[in-house]
Parts: sequence; C-alpha cells; structure tokens
Amino acid sequence: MRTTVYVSLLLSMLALDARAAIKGSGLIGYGSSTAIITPKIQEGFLMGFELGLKEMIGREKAADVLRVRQITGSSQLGAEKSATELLNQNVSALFGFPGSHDSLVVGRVAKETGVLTIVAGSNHNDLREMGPNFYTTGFSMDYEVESMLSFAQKLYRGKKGLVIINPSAVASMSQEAIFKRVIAEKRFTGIDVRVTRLNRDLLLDKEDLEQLRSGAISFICLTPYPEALVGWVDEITAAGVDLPIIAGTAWGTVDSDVLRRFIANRKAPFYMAASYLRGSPTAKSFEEAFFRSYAKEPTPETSFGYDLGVIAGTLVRRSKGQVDRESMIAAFHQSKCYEGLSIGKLCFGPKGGHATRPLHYLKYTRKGFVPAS
Amino acid sequence: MSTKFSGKESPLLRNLILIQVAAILTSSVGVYFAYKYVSESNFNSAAAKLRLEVATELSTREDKWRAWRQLGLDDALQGELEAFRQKLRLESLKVVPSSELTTVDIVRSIVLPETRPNDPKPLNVVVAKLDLSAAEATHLPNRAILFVLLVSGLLFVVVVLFSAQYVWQRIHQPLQGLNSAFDRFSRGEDFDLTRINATGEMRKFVRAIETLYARVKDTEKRAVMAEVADRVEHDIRSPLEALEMMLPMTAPLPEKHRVILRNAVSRIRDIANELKAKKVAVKSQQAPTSAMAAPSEKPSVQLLSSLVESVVSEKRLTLGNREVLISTPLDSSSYGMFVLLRPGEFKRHVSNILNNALEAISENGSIRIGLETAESNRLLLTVEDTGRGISPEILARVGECGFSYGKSNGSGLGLFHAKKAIQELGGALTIQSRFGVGTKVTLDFPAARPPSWFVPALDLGDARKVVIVDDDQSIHDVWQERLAGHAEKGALQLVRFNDGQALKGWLASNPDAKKHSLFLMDYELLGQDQSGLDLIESLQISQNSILVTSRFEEKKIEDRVKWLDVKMVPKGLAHVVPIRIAAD
Repeated sequence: MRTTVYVSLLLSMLALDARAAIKGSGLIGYGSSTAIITPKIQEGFLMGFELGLKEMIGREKAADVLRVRQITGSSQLGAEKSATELLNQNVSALFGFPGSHDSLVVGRVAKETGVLTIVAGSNHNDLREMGPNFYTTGFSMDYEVESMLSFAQKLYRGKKGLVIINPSAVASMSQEAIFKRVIAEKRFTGIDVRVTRLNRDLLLDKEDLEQLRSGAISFICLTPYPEALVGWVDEITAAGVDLPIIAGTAWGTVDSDVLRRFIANRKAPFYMAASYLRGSPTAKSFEEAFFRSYAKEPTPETSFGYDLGVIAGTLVRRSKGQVDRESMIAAFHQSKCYEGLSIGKLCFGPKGGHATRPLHYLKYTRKGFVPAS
Repeated sequence: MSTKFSGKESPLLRNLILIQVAAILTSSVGVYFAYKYVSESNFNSAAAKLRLEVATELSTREDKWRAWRQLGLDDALQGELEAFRQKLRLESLKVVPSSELTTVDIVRSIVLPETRPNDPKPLNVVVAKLDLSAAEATHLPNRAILFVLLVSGLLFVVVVLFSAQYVWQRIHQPLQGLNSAFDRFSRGEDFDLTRINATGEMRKFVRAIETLYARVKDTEKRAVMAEVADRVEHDIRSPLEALEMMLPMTAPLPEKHRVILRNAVSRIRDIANELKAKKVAVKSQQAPTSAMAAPSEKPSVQLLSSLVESVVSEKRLTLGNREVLISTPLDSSSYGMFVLLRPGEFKRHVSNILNNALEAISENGSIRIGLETAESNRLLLTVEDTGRGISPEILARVGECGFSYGKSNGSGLGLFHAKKAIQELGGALTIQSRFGVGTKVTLDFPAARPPSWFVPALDLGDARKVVIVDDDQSIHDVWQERLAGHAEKGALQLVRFNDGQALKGWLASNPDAKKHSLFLMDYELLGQDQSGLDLIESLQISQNSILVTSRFEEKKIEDRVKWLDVKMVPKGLAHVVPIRIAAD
C-alpha cells in the first residue's frame, strides 16, 4: 500500500513536472558565427538566450537539452557550418544565428532539412522564403524602412535626405531595394530621399560628400552596422559634416558603443531604431534576472537572446518531454504569440518568416539613448 | 661525284655521310625535344607559380564571395570579383553553383574551395580562369628553335661537304691510286706509286707499301741473284780449277803477265766465293747491307794500292778497242797505305766504280785513280773520270737503294752496298760530279797500322851489297834503276841472280857476304825447287832479307814471313818503295 502511494506520487510529480525527462533526441541547438557580428555581441546574444532558457526549463535541464556551436573565424559561411554540425548531433530545433547574414545562410539548411529554426532579430525580407518552419524574431525589412522614412518625414518634412547603403552587407542591400521601391512609389512625399552606396573602401564618393558638406542634404539615414562605418565617420568628421542621423535597427541590435565617441561629439541629433527599451516595464524582469545572473547590465543583443531563449524554453515545455523535431514543430504551432519577453509580446506569422514586435526610435542624449519624442 | 657515292664505289664515304646525317638528325631531334622540354618547363613553372599566387590571394575571399552569392549580394559580389579579376590579371573570375561546374581545365583554372573526393560539395564555388599569356611568354620562341635548326642545318651541309671532300681527297683518291697501281702491276706494268698524292697517314701508308714493294722486289732480285750466283759459282768452279792447275805453267810468261794471270785467277776465285757467300746470305735472309761480302771474309788490313792495282789491271784488259786511259799514279806517298777492309768486297766495289766510270765515258776519255793521305790519319781513294757526269737531281739520289741511272739492267744496289760497306768500316763514299764534265768518286778510309811484315822503306843501313834474286829481268831493271845512283857512288854494290843455285854458289864463295848484304828475294823462282822463302830459311839470311813478291797477300806467305821474321815489299811497289841509305 505504502509502496503504491509512493509510486503514484512519484508518477504524478513526474507528470506535473514541466522539467520531466526529455524524450526523443532530447536536444536543441544554438548556433552562431562571427562572420558579421562581433564575438562580443554574439556572446551577448548567447548570454540572453541561456538566461531565457533557464528561466523556462531550469538550469539543469537547460544544460542537458542545449547544444551550442559557435563558429569563430572570418568564414562568412560559418553559420552554415554551425547549423550542419548541430544537426549532425541530431538536435530537434535550431535557435540563434543572429543577423540577417547568418540567418539567410542557415535558412537554406533549415529549408532543406525542415527542422524548426528560429533566428534572433534578423529582418531580411528573404527570411520569409525559408519554408514554414523557419522564423525570425525580427520584423521585416519593409517595416523597418517604412518606419525609418516615416520617422524622417515626421522630423524633416520638406528636407532632403541621403540613405547610405553598404553594398557588402546583405541587410543593408536588402534595405536599398526597399528604399528605392518605396521612393519610387512616392509613398513618403514629404521628404526627398536619395539612396547612395558606399564604395569598396566603405567611404562616400566625392559628390555625395560634397552634397553633405554643402548643405544640400539635411539628414542621413544609416543602414549598415556600426562596425562598417568606422571609416565613414572619419570621412565626414574630417569633412566637417554634422547632420542629423537616423540609424536602423542594426544600431539598436548591436552595441553602439563602437561609435559612441562619434555620437557623443556631434551637435546634430542622432537617432536609432530599437525594439528593446531599457528600463521599460516589459524589460524590467529581464533586466533584473540578467543582472542576477551575470552581475552586469543587459544590452540590446542580450534582450534579443533572452526573448529567443524564453521562446525555446516554452517550446520545450510545450513538447512535454518529446524534444524531437515533430514535437517541437507542433509545440511551436500551438501558439504563435509569446509574452513575458523583454519587449513584451511577440507574435509570429502562420507560415514562417518575421514576427510582429514593437519598434521605437531612440535619441542620443547626455543621459544616454532615450525614446525620441 | 654523285656516282662515286654509291656503295660499291666508296662505301667509306657513303657511310661517313650516312653517319653524319644520322648524327645531325639525332642531334636536331634531341635539340628540338630539349628545347621543347625547357620551354614547357618554363611555362609549367611560370603557370604553377601564377596558380599558387592566385589561389593564395583568392583563398582569403572565396568564402565571403560564396556567401554573398548565396545571400544574393550580387552587385557587391560582381564589384569585388571584377576588381580582383583585374588585380590578378585573370581571364575570368566568377562564383557559380557547384551543379553547373562540369569540366574544368586544371591547368588554366582554379576552383575554390578545394574539396576531397568524399567531401560534401559546397553550394557554390569560385572559379578563376588564369591568364597564362605571361606564362606562355616564358615559352622559348619558336623562331629561336627554327633559327637554331636552320643554322645547324647549314653547318651540317658545310661539314658534310667538307668531310666528303676531305675523305675524297685524303682517303678515297689515294686508295684508288693504290688500287690502280696494283691493277697495273698485275697486268705486268711497273708498280709506280709516285703519282699518288697522299698526305698524313695515307702518305705513310703509301710510302710503306713502296718500301715493302722495294724490299719484296729486292728479295726477289736477290733470290734470283742467289740462284744465278749459285749457278755461276757452280759452273765456274771447274774452269777455275783448270786455270789454277795451269798457273804453274805460266813460268815462261813475263812476270808482269804472270801477275796479271795470277790476279785474274785469284779474282775469279774471289768472285766464286762471293757468289757462294751471296747465295748463303740470301738463303739465310740476311739484310742486304754488307752481306754481299763473304761471311767468312773478315775485315783485314790490306795494302790499298795493291788492291786497286789488281782491279785496274783487270779493267785495262777489258777495254778492248776503247781509248780510255786508266791511270794510277802511284808514288812513294801512296806506298804504305793500309786500310782495314774486306779485300774481296773492296775489289768488287772498286770494280763497280770503275765500271760506272767506263760506262759514263761514251767513246774516249780517261779515268784517274788517286791515292792520297788526308787529315786525321785518313786515306783517300779517288776515281775521277771524264764521262758525261751526273745532273744534280740524279746525283742527289745516287747511292739510294734501288736507284739506278743510265743502266738498262741496273739494280741500283752497287753504290748503295759500297757506301754501306765502307761506312761500316768507318769510311765514307762521296760522289762529286759536273754534268757534261765528269764524276769523281772519293772513298775515305781511316788509315790502318801496317802489318808487321811491311817495310816502310828500304833501309840499307850498313849494307854494302844489295843482292837481288829474281827470275824476272824487269825487276832487276827496276832495282838497277833505283839503286844505280848509289852503286855509281860506290856506296853499295848490286849483285843479281836469276835463281837460287847461283845465289848459293855465290854465298859459298863469299861467306862474309851475308853480313853486309841486303837480299831482295823473289818468292816465286820458277824452275826452282825452292821458293825465295825456302832460300832465305836455308841460307839463314832472314835478318837481312826482304821478300819482294806480288803474292804478299797470300796467307801462307804472310804466315811464313811472319814466322821467319822476314819483311816484304809488294813487287808492284818496288819502284816506289822509299830507300834509305846510311851516310847518304
């Protein structure tokens, strides 16, 4: 009798315990490469991801279920290698691969294998072409471009602007096409925007520089990552150009401290798009948990990672121990929306692709980046 | 010349040309392939170096470009590809799907990334096509090899022509000349190689054949001569014996004629002996140097004037109707000339020289034979004629073995052997001649010590009487003439006898006459039982006797006078022997 009770209690606990034994392959994979995003930022993504996962399934289970493969070095196909190696370990789902570049690379693998893949914060429009099991926590590039133009029109109606494109960055090039299309469609007639590419040295041509210096241009829209603009900032600084700048979500994703000195020394305003609002009510629990775990303040990339980790943990819990590919897919499709993230709520589309998430524009002040009014 | 190149005519020349052609073709092929190998090596080396440089440069970017291709960053990708294509001077540089890659020129193209056979194929690959024009520039220019082959071809033609000409002139023609000479010889013509123009080894070869032919001819000739000599020697033995048997019967003849007959018989005997010796020499294949002399005739000290006189006497008898004067002016200076030689051989040489002189005189002329002393104790025998003389060209070759001039049956060996024989005895034979004037042959000998029997001078000492015993009145006349002056002065008295009995009778009557008398005794006292030496011995007058005889050369007489310690005066030199009289 006593034995029966004990066994029954035990079974009940096991049944109720969300951290029950994982069946199937029992593994999920987190991958990344340093082809585009720096190792420090990638590490931030992973820190956030692990925190989110642990919060959902516990530290021990998270350690059991998670396999991480970070490809360092300069290979621009490192993400593909990372995903391949994780799949060779028979992971049931792929997570991570922040940045449009890595996301697109791993998207081909995900499309071929059909494994559930959720990347962190990538915006490239082609990500919606990677099949029904490929998702990104980022919004679409269309949304970002239109948001940027809308914001610019709001601030600089009747003015001329210059959109700078990095021809060697896939995200930037994706935005170029969208900018041109939107401009051609005359959907933002309050501003006169021209798109230009940096040259091979990631500098402006003399004509563009002259226009900036002469005052023909009133504002600048930046699409490349900050790391790619180091030469450019020296160029315009030397040229004495100090115009308002509106930077894309790339700046909001990565550590903008790379060019903090440039930003701080400017007189003209500097704006950047971001999803994560530090100190916001939705981010509070994340920030506290992050600080508890790592004794440091979180950064935008950590929030992206955290949100992805919460989603991954949620899926593991939904699969109820069946951490295999089919179960993970089924768990994902149980509900496309996730709450309690650092940004609040995030919802995915029905057939793969981008998510719907808030977008804010921040302005640099002496007190740091604050929401722009 | 082309017809001469057929294998039958001149296989040597044909083979030479074939070998040269083969050599030049082989070397040309070798040069060509070596040239090509070096050229290809240069190209491959340059191409490999270029491949390495390009692969190294592209390997740092192929990963990015393949990612860009995959991500659709075509504009940026094309921009970089074009920039690197120009920088690396490539024909093309592109990123293509692996599935579109079919055939690749592994020499001119580089495909990245490099994968092993079992590695999974990448989605896209970078294909770079190299511009090997710079590498191909390292190819050695074809015109260079053509130039080399052209030059070598020209050199070959020159070499072939030169070598063909060389072989034709230096080898083929001399050989053809030899063949022709052999052909003519086989048809019975003379074996004449003088028309062959050869140089170097061929010249030596031709001269060697000439010498060989001369020796063969000489051997044949000597063999014939030996056969003839044998025949003659055999045939003349009988008449010779008859003559020798008849000699004692020549007593009634004057001494002079007896001497001539005796010398002639002796000469015939010598000739027979020489013939025998010659036959023996030829059969034993002795070298024709001094082998014409009898092997048994050893050199001995001989009175030169006596030898010459005997030969001259013989020659005079052969003159017949020819008006040729042979003079032998002998005087006291030529009295004591002794020479170490082989007498029989020497007489033959002198006889040959006199024959040459006689043949040189067409109708009338003279031959003067002189004997004189010369410096360094040497004796000269000269034979000077007034014949037609010898031209300088012929004179230069006179004395060469086998060279004969002006004689239909000349062997060309006489003077050659004479010269050889005299040289072997330390002498020399020289010939001087003026064409159209005459010729002078000089035989130069070292003087020999006179034999012990020789009387250098009639030293009468304290003799008061000179007793002459000779059956020849002419000798008495000679002595009479030589000593008459002294006899008239009363320094001495001449006593003359014709036979030994008279002498004995006189000595019996004048027993003191022995002491103060010089006896000049003839050897051959015809009709007498005793010879002069017998008388000298029996009368015990050897100390003051001098044998005066023409037979002084006979060994038995020489031995006996030596034994008796008697001196001799050759009878032929009685008229020139120096006479010393004490208190004259």
